[in-house]
Amino acid sequence: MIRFSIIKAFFKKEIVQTLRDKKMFAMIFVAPIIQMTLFGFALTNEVKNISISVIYSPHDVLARTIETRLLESGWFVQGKTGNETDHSKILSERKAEAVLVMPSQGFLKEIERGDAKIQLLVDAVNPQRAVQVENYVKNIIAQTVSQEFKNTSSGLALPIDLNVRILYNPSLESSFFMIPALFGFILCIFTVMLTGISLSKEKESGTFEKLISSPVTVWEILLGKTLTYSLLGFIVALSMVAGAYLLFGITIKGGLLKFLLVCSIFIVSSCSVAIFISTLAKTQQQAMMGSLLFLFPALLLSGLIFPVENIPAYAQWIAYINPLYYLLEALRNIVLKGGDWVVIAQNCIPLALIGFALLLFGVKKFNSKL
Amino acid sequence: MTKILDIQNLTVKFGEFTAVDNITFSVEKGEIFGFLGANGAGKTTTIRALCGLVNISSGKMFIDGKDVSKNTKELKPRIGYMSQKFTLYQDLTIKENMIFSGALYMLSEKESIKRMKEVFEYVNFKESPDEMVKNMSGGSKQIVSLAASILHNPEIIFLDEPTAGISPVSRKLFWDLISKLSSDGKTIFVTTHYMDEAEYCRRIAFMQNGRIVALDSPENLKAASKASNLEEAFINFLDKK
Ligand SMILES: Nc1ncnc2c1ncn2[C@@H]1O[C@H](COP(=O)(O)OP(=O)(O)O)[C@@H](O)[C@H]1O
Ligand SMILES: [Mg+2]
Repeated sequence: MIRFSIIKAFFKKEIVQTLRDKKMFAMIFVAPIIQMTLFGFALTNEVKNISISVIYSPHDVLARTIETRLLESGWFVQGKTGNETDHSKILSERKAEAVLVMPSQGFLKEIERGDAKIQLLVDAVNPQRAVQVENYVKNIIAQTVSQEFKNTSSGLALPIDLNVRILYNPSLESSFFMIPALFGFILCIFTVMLTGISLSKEKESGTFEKLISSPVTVWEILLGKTLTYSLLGFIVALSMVAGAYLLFGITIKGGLLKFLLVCSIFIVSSCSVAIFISTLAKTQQQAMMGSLLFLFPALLLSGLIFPVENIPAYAQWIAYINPLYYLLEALRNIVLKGGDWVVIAQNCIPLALIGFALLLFGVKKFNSKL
Repeated sequence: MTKILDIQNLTVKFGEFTAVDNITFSVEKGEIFGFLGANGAGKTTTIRALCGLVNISSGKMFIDGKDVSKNTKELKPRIGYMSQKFTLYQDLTIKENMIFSGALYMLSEKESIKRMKEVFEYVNFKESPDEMVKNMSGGSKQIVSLAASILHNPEIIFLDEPTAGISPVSRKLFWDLISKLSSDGKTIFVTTHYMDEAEYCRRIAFMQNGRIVALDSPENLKAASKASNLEEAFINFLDKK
């Protein structure tokens, strides 16, 4: 039996208590801002300092001038090069984020011949960024070339064919790639830690005894708690989404609806973990430790820090029962690529099954006796 | 007089340890029934068993003729329980605590506030309802605690050491409230350390090591053990063992 008025009473109480608790308040509202700013710093830094490698033959003076101009523009920094014949390898090995391949016969010569082909390879997670890089490069080439041909026409009319190839994040290592994971991780921390702590707080202070001596049911207690902190988690995750948009122009390509759908399925798992932790923890401190004991391995084995395929086989199965892994996979797809329903289903079905199993386990362990 | 509480051969074990050992007694409707005993005698465990908060090992408990183990849901709204632990939220105001406590029993905010005012007027309690609980004195806390556990107007009220650690003046106030509740027809089941308080009870049970060693009115207990006061009577009963 679940009565709405009781859930509402819990909700009000939890919100008032949370807002009054300075430590809790800081954890909820300040921590995400700090994380966002740190990531943002990494991001803005990156948009400015795109590492670029320019490939040209040693005697190509014009190409060298272009390289110098690129590096002087402030947008680019010198990338590394090797002896690769396949230039996309420079990207996947993270030697540079962009590669500009000049004609091997010499740029000037080819322009004069009327057929200059340049190739630009860009490692980018979103097309906007790739377009940005492309525009910077185009402008700088046009400026340089038109200065070279001062007395003739403008650079626009010159026979230059810039072929742009965008490689989507082959190195899996960009901050853009981290942002959707950050949304997911914040949601996870909120639901696991705050729910767990607030449940243990009732036990520690003795108020739990009052709850169970009243006619409220276990489901009402659990829903009252989990709904409140899930909602707080959603609010913070959404304000981070708004922040990511306002500060860095990152949008959820798949739309908010898919985003919220996946998050809602996920919180069944994380709240169940919190319920389970609260059955073992007698104090808030223990609940905090318990949450960390869950969060660290969950984070390490979620594919956020290194791809799951790189985890030794004997530990890989943990990733496949880790709800955070499926959440991050799905969120990345939704935020960066638009959310393919097949990918969403592939992640949501295991997520729902794990959530359901954890819920049954957590509620069964949750004792309404002392 | 009708038996409102009827406990038959109640035993509660925690693992190998027997906290309540085969006790049988009954409480009549409208009486103040006292439970006396040293720390660890099993008083709290008995109350918790009656409120359905611990799993019992054997025996039967009836409240108003209904088996507690089978009718917990139905009986809970008829019981008020003030725990030995402090169970109000320290970071909420008096009013917020009352509203939440009332809501657990399906009272609306208005009803809870109305009831709170009634109880406070009853004992001439003067603190502002917007005072934070953590800023109140021990005595005030206990009064508010009791008020919170009787908002839903229960027939039976369990009070577990309600006056522990509060000033004699507050204790007097507190017992005035208990007497008033009793004269309203409520059944009061109270545990205490203080022998002078036990005089307020119509009947008392002395408890030791999970067993009831004596049960009668204060006068009879004193007479039976040829003691001049309850303290002496209590010691005499323990000595016999
Ligand atoms: N949950 C529990 N687990 C184990 N032992 C307990 C538990 N609750 C109480 N006890 C033990 O049972 C005995 C009786 O406790 P209690 O009923 O609290 O006594 P009282 O209220 O008379 O002081 C004590 O020895 C106490 O340590
Ligand atoms: Mg006790």
